[in-house]
Amino acid sequence: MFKYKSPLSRLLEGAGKTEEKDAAESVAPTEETAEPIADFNALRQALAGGNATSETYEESDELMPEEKMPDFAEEAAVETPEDVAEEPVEQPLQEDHQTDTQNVESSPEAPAEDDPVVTLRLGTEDSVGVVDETPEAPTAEAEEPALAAPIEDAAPAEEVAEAAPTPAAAPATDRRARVKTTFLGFERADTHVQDMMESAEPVSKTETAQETFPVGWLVVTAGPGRGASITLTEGLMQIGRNDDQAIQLDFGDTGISRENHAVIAYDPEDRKCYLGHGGKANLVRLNGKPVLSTIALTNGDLIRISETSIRFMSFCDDGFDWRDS
Amino acid sequence: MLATPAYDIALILNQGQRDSQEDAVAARTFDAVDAGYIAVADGMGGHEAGEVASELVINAWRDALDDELDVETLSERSLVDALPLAAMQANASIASHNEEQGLGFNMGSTLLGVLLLGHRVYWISIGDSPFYLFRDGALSQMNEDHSMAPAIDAQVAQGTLTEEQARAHPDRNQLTSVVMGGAIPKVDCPEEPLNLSAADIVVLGSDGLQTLTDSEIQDVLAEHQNALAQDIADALLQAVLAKAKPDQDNLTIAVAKPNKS
Repeated sequence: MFKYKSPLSRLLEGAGKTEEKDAAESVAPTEETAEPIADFNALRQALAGGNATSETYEESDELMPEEKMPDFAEEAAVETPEDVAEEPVEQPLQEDHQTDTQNVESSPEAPAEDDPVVTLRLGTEDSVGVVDETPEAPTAEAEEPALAAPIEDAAPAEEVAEAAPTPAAAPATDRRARVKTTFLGFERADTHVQDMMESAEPVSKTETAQETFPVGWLVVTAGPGRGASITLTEGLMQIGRNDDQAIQLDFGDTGISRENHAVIAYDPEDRKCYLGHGGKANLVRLNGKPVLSTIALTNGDLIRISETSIRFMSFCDDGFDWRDS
Repeated sequence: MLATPAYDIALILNQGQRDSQEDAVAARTFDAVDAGYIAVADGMGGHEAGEVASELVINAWRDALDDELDVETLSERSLVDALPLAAMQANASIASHNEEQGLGFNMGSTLLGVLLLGHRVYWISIGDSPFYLFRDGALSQMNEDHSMAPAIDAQVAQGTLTEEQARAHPDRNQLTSVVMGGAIPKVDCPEEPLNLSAADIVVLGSDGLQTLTDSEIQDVLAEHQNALAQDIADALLQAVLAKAKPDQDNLTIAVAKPNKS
């Protein structure tokens, strides 16, 4: 996909023609797992020992942890011919971000791709790097739930996990996957936190840090748009599909009215959010019951509009209100 | 092929000892789609307003349900959604009627609407009109009672009131939710239907039927359970009239049995 066409990828494609895809893609995951500093080291090494590449490449497919460095070596080596020290040194940083964002998105998509298994593998590894579940799923099942709970990426990772066992065609990719697996294997217990930290990076990127003064949130838990979240603020917020709606639910559920299907409003007096229907032709259910008048929302309430289920999470309540300070 | 009606339904409306009939009832079967409905509305408000209110509620129900049921193939989802939408429509028409009458004009009505869909039974209930299921010799009230009665009966259970005191309690018929053009604090409208079996009997009423205790109603049903719906309904009416209650309220009785096929 277009995501793979990162500057570094293109660089690599130009250089290592035979393995271009593998190489291009492999860089992303590998680097992204490792911390930036590790990347630099890797790159430095790679730049230093550019020759070793092709052999390590093949062998490493079947080999385990130590091959990690050679990986970099090989890939970076591919770069070396074209670009000298400068470029690569800069790239890794960018790459980190790029690949990170990929992880989030590309992992679920990956299985769908027709492209060579290679691409498939990419998705796998990406998520491996970030979420850290894929490799463990087969190895240590016990740990998976614990991880799945805290990390939101759980869902994608599971999907990936399914994909992971299947392929394995491209040797190059195999190697990469293993590198990570074993890497995690070394310090499984501790890496959870570390991996969470790493996975947190892309999240902070996608969400623009704004002062929204939230009073609560809505999270779509089922139906079109599952996984989306919406910040609730003060004032009357209409729910509808149109883009002028404060709570826009335009994920493909056409059973939702264009505008004013339902409303949510925060009442600073009693520090509660209220849910009401938008008109006599629009039905919204709260915890299974039709909403016929304005009802106070409590944390965890389930709102259903058409085929879309939304969970309400409160922020402002008896314990906190923005007026407090 | 001749379509046999899916349900045997009987309706009775009796004024009791009151000056006007404020109850309203409607039923219809849709044999093509194996469906039917019964709606009961118990109106309240002075100067004939109660009659208007119950009629508005029944009309809103019919408008909402007929549209969904007068079709070749029905959409169960939108049909089930039509129940609360009917209540909202009813509430809106009562609100606009109140507005036309000017300040301080008030009227309201209960709404008990039951939708029969094959063997599935959906309902919506706002107020205190009871919806009973008679199954295997036992009667149970399926819908919530939006009056003070449950709270008063709870006091009996706690021992703070005698059964006698509870039955005569002045607040017993005080409603906690009603369709009156304003906020509707409580609505009973389960998403999951009740599954009807062939021998079940469904009984709807206005609270005038509750001149009989639940166990008295159960006795009547047990005795006539194999009779036609109209005979069962009539037996219930006779039982109420036999009580000769001096201030007998308006009385609505609706009985439905699935037709054996």
